[in-house]
Amino acid sequence: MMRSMDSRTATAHPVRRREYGGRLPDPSAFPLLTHRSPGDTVAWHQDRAYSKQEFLRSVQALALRLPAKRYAINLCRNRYHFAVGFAAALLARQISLMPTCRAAEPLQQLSQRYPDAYLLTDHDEIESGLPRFLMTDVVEDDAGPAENPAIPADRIAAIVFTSGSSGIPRAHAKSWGSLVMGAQALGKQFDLSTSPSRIVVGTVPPQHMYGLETTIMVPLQWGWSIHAGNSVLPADIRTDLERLAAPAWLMTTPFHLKAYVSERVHLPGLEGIISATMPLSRSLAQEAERLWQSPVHEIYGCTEGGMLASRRATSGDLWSLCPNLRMKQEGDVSWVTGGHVGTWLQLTDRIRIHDRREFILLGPSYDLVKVAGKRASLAALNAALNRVEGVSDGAFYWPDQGRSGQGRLCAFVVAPGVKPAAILADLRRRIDPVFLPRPIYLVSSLPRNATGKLPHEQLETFAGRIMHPNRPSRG
Amino acid sequence: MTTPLKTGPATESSLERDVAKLLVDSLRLEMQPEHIDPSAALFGDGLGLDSIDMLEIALVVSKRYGVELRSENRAAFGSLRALAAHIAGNRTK
Repeated sequence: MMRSMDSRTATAHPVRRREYGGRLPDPSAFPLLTHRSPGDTVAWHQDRAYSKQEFLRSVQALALRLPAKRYAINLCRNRYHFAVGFAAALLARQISLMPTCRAAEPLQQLSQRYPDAYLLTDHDEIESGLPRFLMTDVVEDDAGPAENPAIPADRIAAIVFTSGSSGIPRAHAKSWGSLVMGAQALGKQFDLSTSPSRIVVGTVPPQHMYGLETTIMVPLQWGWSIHAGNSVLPADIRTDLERLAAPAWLMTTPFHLKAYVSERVHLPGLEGIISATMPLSRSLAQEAERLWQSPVHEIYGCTEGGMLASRRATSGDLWSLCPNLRMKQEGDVSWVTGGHVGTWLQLTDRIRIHDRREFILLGPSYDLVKVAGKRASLAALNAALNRVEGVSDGAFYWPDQGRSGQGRLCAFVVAPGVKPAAILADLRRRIDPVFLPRPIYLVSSLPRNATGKLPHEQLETFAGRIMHPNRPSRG
Repeated sequence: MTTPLKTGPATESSLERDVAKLLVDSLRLEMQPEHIDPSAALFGDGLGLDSIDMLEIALVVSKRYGVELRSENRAAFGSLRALAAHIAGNRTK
């Protein structure tokens, strides 16, 4: 059952059917999905298949019932519910906001920035005080035919966020056209076939740009189906795959792959694995390919641009740029443009261009940290740390820039008389929990230079001394 | 559901202590194992663990006790006490 928060919504935000009924291939519009016949499967939830017709009817029904607001913060956990909510918002001309985290304070900040927003969710675990539309199941509007709407390419479908260096997330608008072109580029890059249809299983949330591209947009635009599950636990993924009726593609991250490889989880029926959010080590990729008899591909991309390049993780260091993109470089800074990316976009990583279509990834810029696919600016994290009561100086540190694995951050803090647990409790209210330092090292001072700066090299030497006090220093 | 092994209160609390130590060590939590309130929520406002921790907990619990955690065992992730009780009832090593 769906419960409407506001009984006026059905009439306050009418969907003008006339506008979405077109079937002509219009370059200024793209259909919601590309499945051919009404009975084609769009999603699987446990053993239940949802057809194209059921999906479209649910989307149409929900679009008429959504609150009359401009922004939907889609927090659905079930991936099929997310897709229905995302498509319904699109039809109702609402923009889906993709929060980077479900903590109360970031959600409050989001609603302050977008006052005309509500939570669109399928569970009641979030206490935020924001208006909420609860969608505990999907209903069908069985009146009228199920139309596959053509949606204008320039309509803003979603706003995704990256952490700005000031600590305030930066918003990036995604038009429907850029999302569709991104899914098309992704499919071409991996030579996906519209027939036969495949099932996409994901361990990344659909609210994440990579999750949105691979687990929602690829199935919609390649006639594949969405697996509704959202668990990342090895036993759940194994059971999910055992029950599937068609070969599956697993959209995941090095963090999850490492866990599944270490558990030697039986993952049957995989035709392809895609990993993104951080580089995958070649040995891990080889182990995964051997265990599951499936090629492991990697995507290089970013929230602002989506997928930019890919490589077969076992075969070398070179990344192949998407065919619809171009790149250029000046000094340490690189840009890409074209296709789904649009105008020149500056990369946050340092790369070396090999030829016009290939490059080598050197590493992130020194301000950037990535943990479990989430990205933050060290400057912003440090600013949050230095606002903590009792902290007189402090700096986050990312051991080995994440190269040694999926390491968490740690922090060096000058805070006489303050316990690490108190610092953590305060920080937890300010930053995403994946960036919480583990552990906090209390120190008497930081190796700042005469101008008060903390150069990267000095911090590295300092960190080595504190973290490995028995190891002889290199200098 | 598997029937829990017959264990007295002393055994249970010793298992709770072992699991607390496992959590603190594997997740590098900034606290002593004995300071974890056995009935406090592991996720959210209690210990403030996140979804990455959930996968890590599933891995270490599987390795140490031979118990496969699933999302349908949501209750087992509720608190240290619930996790220890679930392990006691299902452990194979």
